[in-house]
Amino acid sequence: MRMRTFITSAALATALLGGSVAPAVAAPAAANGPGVFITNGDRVHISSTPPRTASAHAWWTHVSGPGTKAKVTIWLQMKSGTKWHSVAKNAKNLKSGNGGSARRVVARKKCANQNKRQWRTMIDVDLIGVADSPEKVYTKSVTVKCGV
Amino acid sequence: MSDTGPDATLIVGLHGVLDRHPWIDRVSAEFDLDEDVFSLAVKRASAYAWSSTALTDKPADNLWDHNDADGDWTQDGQVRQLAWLQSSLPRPVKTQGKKQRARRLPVLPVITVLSDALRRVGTIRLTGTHALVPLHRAGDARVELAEVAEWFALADPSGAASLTVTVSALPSANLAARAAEIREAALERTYQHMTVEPLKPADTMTPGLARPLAGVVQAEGLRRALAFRCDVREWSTDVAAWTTEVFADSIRAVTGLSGLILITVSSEV
Repeated sequence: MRMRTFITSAALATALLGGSVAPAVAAPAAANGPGVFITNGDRVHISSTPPRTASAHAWWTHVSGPGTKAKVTIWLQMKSGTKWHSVAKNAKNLKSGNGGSARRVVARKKCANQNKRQWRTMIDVDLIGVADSPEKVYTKSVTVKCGV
Repeated sequence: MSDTGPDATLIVGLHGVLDRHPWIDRVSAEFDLDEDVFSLAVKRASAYAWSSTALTDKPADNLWDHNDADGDWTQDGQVRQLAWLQSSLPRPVKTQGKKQRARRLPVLPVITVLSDALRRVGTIRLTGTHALVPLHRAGDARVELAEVAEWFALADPSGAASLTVTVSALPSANLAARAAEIREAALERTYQHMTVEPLKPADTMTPGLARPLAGVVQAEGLRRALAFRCDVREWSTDVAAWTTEVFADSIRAVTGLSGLILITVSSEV
């Protein structure tokens, strides 16, 4: 992310993150107050246990407003040439927070070799039953010794 | 653009025996909690402002980028790998016109986060730690080690402990040939508050560690090259972090190596 908001909550998002965000907005059907949430993700990394696998997690944190569950989708992306390609995808309906594996979604892809490649994840948090903006966010790209 | 190289992985593990608080399940049910090492470590690192996983437009200036974390909380009284954390150490941000000192390895902060996480859910008897450290991200720590030495002198004399320290590296590093210099460097950095006596690496036991250690994939090819017996004035997570940093900094200074080495610290069990 960025912090994702309803149309009424841009000011709150700006206040919360010191103006460092460009909140995405959506027009909710019946927003009853500001809605703000945060997308979280860790860096693509090689799992600590064999087999050699590229892996990353995503989750979301509810800050305010409606919505208690979200469909969180994570795409594991590797750069080939100048283009990013999704090589794995997973999605899960999650409650807010990161407590327990049931509140995180993980994407994995077994490495075919140990070539250095650029990796990142693309994450979409879609609040269930609440209109929110469709934008997706990306984790920082990292160099990982994993080619697929 | 990436600002984290492929070998800038830092993996730290805490080993010992965890006795979960009797009220954990009741409170978890009451507040719909399912906390584990991953979630507690992320929360704690954020609370200290050391590392954030929030994906904001302007990324936080993290001491480490969180990769993964887990732990074995089996309640059987055996030594377990209670908590481990895998992270990537970002390259320092370049400030125009200013040459900045390289950051030290965040060993104490990571161990503190893991220790806090464990102590939130129970009481622990620490028996060992392991750290896979990227030496090329290890800034010169001599000043801070000089500053902190007396901290470890101010300890209850009845808490003295004998530790076993091992170091594993790629065979090409030929660390064993520099063992005497590394020992001298470690002694210089501990100001008589730690003794350092060489042991035979192949014969040295580390009963305070539960294997396999997290990071076996990253530690592939590393072989044990050094072992020492270190007497200290107390045994704690702080001492484990201090000991790890003393040896990491000694090896950095003596060998100039880059890449990953594995440092383990084991107490008597």
